[in-house]
Amino acid sequence: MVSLGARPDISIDMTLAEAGVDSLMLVEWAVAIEDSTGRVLGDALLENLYTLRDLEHYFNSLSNTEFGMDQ
Amino acid sequence: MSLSLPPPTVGRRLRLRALSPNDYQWMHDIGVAGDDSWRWRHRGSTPSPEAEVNGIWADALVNHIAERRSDNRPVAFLSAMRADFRNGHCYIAVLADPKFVRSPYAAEAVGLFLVYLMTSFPLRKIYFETPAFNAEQFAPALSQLCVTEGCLTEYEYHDGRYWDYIIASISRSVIADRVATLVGHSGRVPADIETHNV
Repeated sequence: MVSLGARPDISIDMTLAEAGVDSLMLVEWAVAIEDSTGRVLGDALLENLYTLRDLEHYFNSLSNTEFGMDQ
Repeated sequence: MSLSLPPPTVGRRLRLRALSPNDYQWMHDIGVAGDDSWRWRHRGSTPSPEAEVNGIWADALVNHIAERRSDNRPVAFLSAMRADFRNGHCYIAVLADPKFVRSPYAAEAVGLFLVYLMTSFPLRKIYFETPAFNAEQFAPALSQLCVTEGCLTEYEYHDGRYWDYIIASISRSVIADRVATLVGHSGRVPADIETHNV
């Protein structure tokens, strides 16, 4: 799986573009989460990721069915 | 004798379907009229409607639209062209809705298309070309999955400077081992092309 590696310049409010996150990273993360939890991440969640803070929100909310996870 | 299966067109979140004339307006809106149209092959120029359509089909092997399974919303146009079956390769081009470029959908669209091509045609590897200003959008994928085979230096003008033009490839084995799993078709792409007698 690809990763951002050690980046001292990373800040939480960077956009995904500024942080160097690409679509492959996101699909690998989504697949890993789905395969490990057996649940499907919803479109509303996946199409609204713009910043690293969104990603943090995304990971922190994985147990919250109200945040876009479909059974 | 093993059974033959249709090539996969359905992924985890997307499906592939053949391009139709009904898609031309969507392609025009993104590739010619959209804010990011300077990234697509016309590079900000406005071809005639006839030239725009002819460009879509020129030397095309497969033209697909990847759309979301949940709502049929188009995510990307994917084209395979310049097929060379003597030497086992072709080129691809991708026009993605900018909303999805940095989402999981873009990578799934490309991955599903690569799996489709490798199960449908006897290809060893698939090439793509991109100016460096586009390559940064998928730099991790480029470094992890692809091989940069050529670079034309200071080849293309954009925004006050000349940019390098990259020619890269992705192999059948990488698609079989890594890409197919990401799009939900693990084991579906043969790593080697075999000959089966009836």
